[in-house]
Amino acid sequence: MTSQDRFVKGRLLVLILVAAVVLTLPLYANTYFTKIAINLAILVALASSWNLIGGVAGQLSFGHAAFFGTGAYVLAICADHQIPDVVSFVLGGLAAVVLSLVAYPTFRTKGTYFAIITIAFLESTRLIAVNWESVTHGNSGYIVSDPYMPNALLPYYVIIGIAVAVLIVSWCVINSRFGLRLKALSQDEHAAEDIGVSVRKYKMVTLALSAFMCGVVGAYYSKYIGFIDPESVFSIRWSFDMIMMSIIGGLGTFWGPVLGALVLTFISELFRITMPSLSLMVYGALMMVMIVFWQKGLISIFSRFAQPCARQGLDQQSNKQ
Amino acid sequence: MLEVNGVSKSFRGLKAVNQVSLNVGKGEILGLIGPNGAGKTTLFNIIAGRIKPDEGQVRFDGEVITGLAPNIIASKGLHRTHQIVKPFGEMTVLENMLVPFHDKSSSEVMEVLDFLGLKGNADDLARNLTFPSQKKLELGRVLVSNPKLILLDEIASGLNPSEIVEYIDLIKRINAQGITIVLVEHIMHFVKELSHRVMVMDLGRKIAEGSPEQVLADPAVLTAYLGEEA
Repeated sequence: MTSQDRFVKGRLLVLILVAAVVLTLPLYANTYFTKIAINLAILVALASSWNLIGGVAGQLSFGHAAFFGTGAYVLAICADHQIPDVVSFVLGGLAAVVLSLVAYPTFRTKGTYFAIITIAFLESTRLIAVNWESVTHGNSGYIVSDPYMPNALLPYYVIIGIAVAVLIVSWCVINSRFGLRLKALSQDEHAAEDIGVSVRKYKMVTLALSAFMCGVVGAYYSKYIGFIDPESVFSIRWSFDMIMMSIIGGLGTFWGPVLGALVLTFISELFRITMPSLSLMVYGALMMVMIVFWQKGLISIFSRFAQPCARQGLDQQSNKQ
Repeated sequence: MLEVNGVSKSFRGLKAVNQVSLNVGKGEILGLIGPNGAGKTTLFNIIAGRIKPDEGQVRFDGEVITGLAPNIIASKGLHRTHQIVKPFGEMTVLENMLVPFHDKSSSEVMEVLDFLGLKGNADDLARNLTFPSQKKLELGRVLVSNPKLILLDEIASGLNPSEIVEYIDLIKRINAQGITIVLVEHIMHFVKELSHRVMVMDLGRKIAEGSPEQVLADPAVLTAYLGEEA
């Protein structure tokens, strides 16, 4: 057995152990821990979705809360019409995709300008949610009919399923030639274009994919939390969380957002009871330290995991544009 | 293979390229020279789709490509390299080579790297390469996508004499594979050594065209480079 084999087997073992713990958690953990786990899974799914366009493709979007909020409202509306959950989740995702198409013209801009436009974009969607009262009930908020029963097992397994699906998509994108081209265009758009990469198409497809996943998570959130209003789901805090987790963990890497979500959840739980406001300060400080001293994120400690296996697997990847 | 007809481009009233036409046959190496600001790079940018001309037409392989996006033009087999290299620095050399569209296996890509003398650097980050190696990598990304024609923008600039000899040999070998080449260059012996034909531009216009010896003896060319005799 070569060391490579042993390494692969070791990873497989860890994966099986993690899977076993995750799948059986609600059976022995109390509701407090299960709730933390659900929150964590929501954050992992959101950060991993954001990371595809924001990290891998390098398009700093502050607007992702718009996709999340759209998904949340679509589910709330669907729930009033007795539409099955699975269908509502997909519709929530699709609505977010439609919204993301609005972003197509914004890809003419780059860097700071793009980031500013995405803030304006989020603000507009929030204002639509506030003012379109006949559909959204405006600022008084929306009570979701038939939300998940509190303390039930189902919501836990649903979000785990969603998070795993998001992670699989993220893994496939990051380790494909599609992902490689995203990394390329994030470093030099002209150079990527000159060797045949349709930069705007690549960005758009990635944004739509990312938006879809955020929309699905938003729909889940709505079903889970039972009450939404524009302030809670169209809040830029969601975007900030996605960005912070990705940066702290490691931008553009597969494990970065996962690690970032773990760290942020840990910090916020640590101070939740004693001093809730302290957790925000610690976030902020951590974020500054990471950006100044450690731009590759915490994941760079485990650089073995962070390095994409360029040689393996790339040959099998499809090469269609 | 490449036909440029009466192409012009102005920037704020300054005619950077003025009614320029050129023709490149299959398998040819055309040298494009001229003093700084003559419009050579602008002409390249027009051909490669980076800039839309105000007037005129570019045809490649019999097809009009004027105004198409750079990535579409590249997909037709017309590629370019840049005067200022643009490696994807945070990616390895091998990963850089997998960004363009091709269905070569890793071992075939390694053959191209071997051809360029970069085989030993396959797993190095592109930003850690030396400057001449980065130029080779840029050429490699083009070669791997099966180009029909390559526009080389000052590929020899910043190289030392022995590296220039190496690049002359490299470009000859690329050309021997049937790939047409248009090169912009300031280093005269590089142009002379490689070009089948030379075209000279000055102040946006074509002022001479012919064999390297002919052109470099042309009084108009001498004037453009050295100025009028007092």
